[in-house]
Amino acid sequence: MLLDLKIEPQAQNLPLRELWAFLPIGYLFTIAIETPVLLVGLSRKVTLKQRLWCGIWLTACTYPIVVLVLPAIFMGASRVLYLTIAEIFAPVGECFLFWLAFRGNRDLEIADWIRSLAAIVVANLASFGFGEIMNHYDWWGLF
Amino acid sequence: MQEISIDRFELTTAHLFFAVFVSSCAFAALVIGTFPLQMSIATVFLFAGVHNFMEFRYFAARMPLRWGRSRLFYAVGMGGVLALAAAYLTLYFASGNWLWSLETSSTLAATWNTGFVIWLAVMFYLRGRQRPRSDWAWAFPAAFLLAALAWAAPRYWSLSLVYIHPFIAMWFLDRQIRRKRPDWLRAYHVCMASIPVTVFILWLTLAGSPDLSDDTGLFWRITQHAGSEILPGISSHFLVATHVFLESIHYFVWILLIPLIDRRALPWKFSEIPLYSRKGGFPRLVAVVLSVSLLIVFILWGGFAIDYTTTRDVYFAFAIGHVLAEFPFLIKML
Amino acid sequence: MKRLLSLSALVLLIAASAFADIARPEPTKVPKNGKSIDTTMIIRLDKNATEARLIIPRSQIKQLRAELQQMDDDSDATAAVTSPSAISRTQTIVSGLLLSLAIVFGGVWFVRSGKTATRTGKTLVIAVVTLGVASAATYVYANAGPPAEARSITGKMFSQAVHFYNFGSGKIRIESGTESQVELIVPDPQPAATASSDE
Repeated sequence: MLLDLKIEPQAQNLPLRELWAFLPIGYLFTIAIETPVLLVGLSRKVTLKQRLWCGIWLTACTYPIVVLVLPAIFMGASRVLYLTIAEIFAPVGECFLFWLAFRGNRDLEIADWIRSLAAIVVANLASFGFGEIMNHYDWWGLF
Repeated sequence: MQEISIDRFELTTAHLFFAVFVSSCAFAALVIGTFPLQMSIATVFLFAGVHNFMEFRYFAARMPLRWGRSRLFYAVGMGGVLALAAAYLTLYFASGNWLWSLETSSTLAATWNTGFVIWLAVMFYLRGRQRPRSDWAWAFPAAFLLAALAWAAPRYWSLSLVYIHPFIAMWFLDRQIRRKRPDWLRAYHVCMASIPVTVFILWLTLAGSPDLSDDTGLFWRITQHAGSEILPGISSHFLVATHVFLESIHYFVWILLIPLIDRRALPWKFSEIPLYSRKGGFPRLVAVVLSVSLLIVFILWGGFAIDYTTTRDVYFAFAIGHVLAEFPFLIKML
Repeated sequence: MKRLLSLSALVLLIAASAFADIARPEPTKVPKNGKSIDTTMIIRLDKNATEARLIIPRSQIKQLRAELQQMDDDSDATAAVTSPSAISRTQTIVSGLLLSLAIVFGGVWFVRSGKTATRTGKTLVIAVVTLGVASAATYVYANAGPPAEARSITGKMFSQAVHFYNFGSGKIRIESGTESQVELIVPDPQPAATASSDE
């Protein structure tokens, strides 16, 4: 999820239309990073199909907020403020959505919940790291 | 001993329906493609008011006297028609007002569109609850997605409504055929499939045509209504022709085909209107309202004859009422 | 029923009254063509230049400014705002929020619908998601940029390898100058000399 944060040098000033253009590309890159992490990290009591679904769905839920809404709100404002809010929002939002979707699953015990929520946070950090690398290579000319 | 049977082709009313529909569409496309502006003026003049009257008459026949367990559905449906129509008219007529900037108008239009799709979602959801083993809660994510598009590209979204609206009449006809003439259903679906083919032929013929003249206020309004400003890369000749072609089918469906399929929709059959004929109904009120509706058709003709441009503007503003009214009845038929 | 009818009449009357005294929007006159001036341009490869520069003569800038001023006066000032592809901050914020809501609600419905959702409904959702992902992938592929040579304005842009793309782009500094014609200065860094060539 933090993948988008690596375009932050431009994020605060990018024309709005370019944010829209980045949305699908950034999303695909993000799920390409986060889904494997979730496949490995989420509790084994969550089926493989559900873990795959989480990889696609959780990011899709928070990504438009992080890539479109927050940069538009904080356009021209402090980048640190934007980063802090986006950093907190994405993992917290995804953890909440995971709880919303699986709260009826009685097989999940406290240890499973902790493991799963930690996996979501790690997945977000991983996408951030990958975003750093992508930014280093200037997104191979995509932008 | 082996029996050999040969299926002989037998001409049915469904074949006849198909032949008349497709040939009429082809002829209409030819004339409209040749004279798009003239045909736009003529079709609106002749059929706009009449088709509204026929629609109103059809809806009157479908409105139950007692709402019963559909009370909430009809309350949401009719309440939404009134509220959204009033909001639309206020926005439309205030659009030139110095009080509102263009961005404000655009935001308000997108807000109206959001209200519109959420209203549709609520009706779908309520209708789903009435059907056994149905969960139509998918209508909400669909509505949010459509609303997101309405905010992201409000002008394209509004234009898409202009082109989608004629198909609503075709959907009504589909439901009506399923109920009254199921033997025509296959032929009707083939007829529907012929429409994109006709539009594609119009595209092949007119895509390279120069833009239509928009020198006069009326011509400008017609080309703008068809989306020439929003889609500047497409010949306005093609856009106007396509719009008029689809609108003509829409008029044709309401005025001719639906009464042909369901005789209860014939205007003079008052006994088929529950609000009129059932015990506890409102016969006088229904008679007065239908008479006034008929009178409006004549007033519109008079208005078009005196000042076509102004009457057209006023007509298309108030026409939102009939566009909205279609949805509760259509969703109830699903 | 009577109350409902009275209320409807009242609402429509109030809405219609808004028509009074307010002018209907007039046709927007959008200029068909932008303004232009005719001039000549020199493209010069400069091995000492560190950045690409486009130098436009002051006289021509003045001329262009006058043309643009006239165009602004002629056209409706709102034309740019009403461009169909223009998007404001409010639009982006609300649209992004609604998009997220759609995905949240859609996902929750998909997970929870279980047996109540029809097979067709679920297939439709999967088809829409797959189509969305496929469209995004196509978009990514279509946006894959040309090599670095075509993404910076340097002498390498004129090489045969870059001709394949039929276009090139890159950062440029636009300056006003005193010359009589437009001049494009393109940096042309020479490859580092090898040991053998030094000898």
